Amino acid sequence: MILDLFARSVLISLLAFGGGQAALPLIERIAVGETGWASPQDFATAVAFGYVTPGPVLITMTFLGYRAAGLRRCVGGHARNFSDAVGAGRGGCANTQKVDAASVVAKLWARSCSSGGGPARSYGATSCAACFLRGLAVCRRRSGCSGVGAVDENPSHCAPCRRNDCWGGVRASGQVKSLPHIPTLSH
Amino acid sequence: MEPTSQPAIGSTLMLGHIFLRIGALAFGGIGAALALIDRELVRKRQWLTAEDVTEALTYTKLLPGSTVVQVVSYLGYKLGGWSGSAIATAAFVLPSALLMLALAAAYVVASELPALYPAVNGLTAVVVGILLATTYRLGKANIKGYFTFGIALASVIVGAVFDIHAALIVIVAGLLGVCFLPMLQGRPKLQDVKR
Repeated sequence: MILDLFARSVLISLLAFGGGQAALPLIERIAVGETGWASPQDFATAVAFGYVTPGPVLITMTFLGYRAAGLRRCVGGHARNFSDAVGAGRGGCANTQKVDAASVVAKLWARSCSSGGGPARSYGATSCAACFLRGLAVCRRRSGCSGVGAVDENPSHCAPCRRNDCWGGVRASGQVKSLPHIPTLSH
Repeated sequence: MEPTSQPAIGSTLMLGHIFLRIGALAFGGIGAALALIDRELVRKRQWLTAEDVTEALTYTKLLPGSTVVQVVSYLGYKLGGWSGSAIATAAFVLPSALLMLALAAAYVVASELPALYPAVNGLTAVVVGILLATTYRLGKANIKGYFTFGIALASVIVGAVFDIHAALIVIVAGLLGVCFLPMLQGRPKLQDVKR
């Protein structure tokens, strides 16, 4: 994944004759059409941010790279889990729930502190932080899913994280949904 | 080109500091960055001349990639050799890269909030407008005659209708330009390239 990101970014850079802005269509083609790193909305936001930030417009790639291989699966997946829990048995659609950033962070933290599957068990603050970081570190983007909509419509397709002690299952409305196992990190 | 002087550690750090500031303040693309470089390095400190900046622009225009970053690398080399170039480039890109990372992280969290979908839709519309404006500007500067217009039109058709990969279009269009533009316009002279 990271290598792919690197290779395609180099390709974009090599073909960006006429400056960074001239490469935006190529970036769109690669990041949205070909690889599904980002949804069209993500791309639009990335370009808008690219113009808003100082410096070169090609810094857009920073955004897209983060979106593609960054911590998104974890955060996105767990925001969804949270709304699942609130939604009392409703099947995994974040659109119908009100979620605010503070509760998402709180939920992320809580999930890092509780062992998946079993009853929520509290760990100390240090192991909490370790779990949190470890969870983020092993989180990888799966292919075949792009954008917010895809996550919401097909949760099993876009499973957020590798199974581990801290992030093993998703407790939603009394039942435990186990996340599908993600075999390898390299693709 | 040769570096004007042997780089000292202190001056290299100074260079990094200056370009860090330019990178953090250069809102609005290459024009803003060049204006800042002109103010900081040409007029205030007089480490560079206006000709140096023009020269940097002339050479880097031919290279693929972000022109601003290349100009900064070039000027960094001119001022402090390889280390100066590396420091200047890294310092120039750093503020916007960090800011972008922060924005991306914020967006990732915020995009899960349904309340923000309309905002994202608005952004999409804005970006279409920005891209159209960029297209117009690039077209005005680069479409000079029927041949270049034909290439532009053909690229649109091939890209939109036949779904050919954009990278391939760029390469083929470049090759066509190499083969046919000199024939149509006569060999480009060095003075033309250097403007």
